[in-house]
Amino acid sequence: MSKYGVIAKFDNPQSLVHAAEQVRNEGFTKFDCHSPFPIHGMDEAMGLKRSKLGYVIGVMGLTGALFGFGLQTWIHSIEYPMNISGKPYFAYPAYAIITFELMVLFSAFGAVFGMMFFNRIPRFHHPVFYSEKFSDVSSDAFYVSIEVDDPKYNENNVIDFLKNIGGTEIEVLTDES
Amino acid sequence: MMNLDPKTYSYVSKKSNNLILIAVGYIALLLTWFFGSSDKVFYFSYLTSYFYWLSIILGGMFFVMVHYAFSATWSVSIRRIMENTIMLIPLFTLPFLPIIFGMEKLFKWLPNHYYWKTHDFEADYLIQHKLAYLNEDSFIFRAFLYFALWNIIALFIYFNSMKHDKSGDIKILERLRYFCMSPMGVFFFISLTFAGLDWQMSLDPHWYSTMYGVYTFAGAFLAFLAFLTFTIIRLQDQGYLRGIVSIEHFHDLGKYLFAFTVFYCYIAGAQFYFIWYSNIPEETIWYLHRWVGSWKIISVLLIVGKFFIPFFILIFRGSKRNIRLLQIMTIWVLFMHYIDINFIIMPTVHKQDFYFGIYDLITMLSFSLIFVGGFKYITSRSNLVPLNDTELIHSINHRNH
Repeated sequence: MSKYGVIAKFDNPQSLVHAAEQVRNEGFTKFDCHSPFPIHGMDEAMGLKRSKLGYVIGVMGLTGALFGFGLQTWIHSIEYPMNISGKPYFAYPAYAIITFELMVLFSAFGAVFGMMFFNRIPRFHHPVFYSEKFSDVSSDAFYVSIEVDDPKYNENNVIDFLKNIGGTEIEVLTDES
Repeated sequence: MMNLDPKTYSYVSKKSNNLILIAVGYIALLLTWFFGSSDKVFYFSYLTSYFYWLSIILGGMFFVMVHYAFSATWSVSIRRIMENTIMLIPLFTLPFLPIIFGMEKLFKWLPNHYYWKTHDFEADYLIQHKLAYLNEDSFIFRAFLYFALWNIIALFIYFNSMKHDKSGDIKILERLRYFCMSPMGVFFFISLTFAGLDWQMSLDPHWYSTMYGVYTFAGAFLAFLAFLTFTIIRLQDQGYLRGIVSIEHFHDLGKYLFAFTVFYCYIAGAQFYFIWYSNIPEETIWYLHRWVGSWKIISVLLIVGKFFIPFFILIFRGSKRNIRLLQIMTIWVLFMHYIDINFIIMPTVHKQDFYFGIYDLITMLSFSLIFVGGFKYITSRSNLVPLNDTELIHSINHRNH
């Protein structure tokens, strides 16, 4: 039996954004907001930084381009030189397309697997689903969750705080395994 | 309606000054034509400068039509600046005349071109085959069609937009949308393609490239985006459009600039690769002409300066949101566009080396006077934003997510 954290329900997107702002101002760092649809302005309200995924994709793209170019150079001018319609062995214009394709392939891998890494997926279960009412979040409920791992976590204070900012149906979640 | 300070959207510019700028430009062009009419280099310089400024207008025409056809909302606050740009086309219609008068000095496919005084025209099999398309009458007729079409598009869009400014009648916007969605857009693209073929590609009548029309468009649109971004930054420096055009708009324009830098590279690269692979003499000769002497440096400069430099600078979010850096990039892109047009046209006459002479300088300056004077004059005629457009508020509050 380990505790996961506290969840509280809010009525509408506006109050969820407002709640997120207050939770952030209170100094919590390990918290999350759950809603049925994306809400504009949520990233700013939660104080999320811009994703680093772009840099991962950029590095992967450059790696792919260099790999593609290097591979063809090695094959065509070192390992197995072949005369193709009288062009020089190191015919770099011809390499452009494979270079480009491998850049795209590597960046796509970087994008997909990087996204999965940053989002910590695949993940088959999450402690918030132990709450009976939490499944409403897929239709019309808006939840804030604050985790036990948060350095400022103090169960009674957190419950009071969530009540103060307008949260209802507050639950303390425990991991059953 | 929101409260906007009229100072931010009513552009003040002295009418007489602008008319003088235009007149000086025209007179300078006439004088240069008068003194250079017997020199074939003049016509090439003239064509280069003319097409440079014309392509900015044509790129703008594409952007305005796309804007209306899709009823775009983010760009409503910068739409009027695009409309003002395309209204320069009437000013650029008459300056096409010297090209018609200088045809036999410019185009090798004319039987009375000086090259055929020493060579046998009838024996040139490749040109003989193209004469059904490349002949004097049809060239002039096509040029007439292009200018008629471009003038109709510009006048229709501009004056309907003006009418909408006064009455706020939503039906006018609808009419504009149908106009831009109609085959007009297709006609415009066909005209741009064939204008590129007629005025640039046919300078070397043996050579042909199926990519050429798109190449013309890519260059033109990129140049227009740079011009538009530069103009908006300049207007904001002078105190206009503050609170109307925000950093989000610059971010989007920066994205466009980046995207079409890549598009240009794709088109130019594809054209080169097709020709390089197939290795057919009458195709490769075009690139061979551009790989001698100092043209070699220009070719490399195009690859580095028109693709790699803007690509690696504009790829970062921070540089698209840094207005000064964006301004430097727009000036750089406009400069590279000149190099590009010069690279296309000039090797026909300066066969050994890149050369920037007095004709290039005077024609460039004269056309820039006409362009800037005309742009300021048209801009001061109306508000800088379509005040009666109900989407204006959405555009002002536009944000990137």
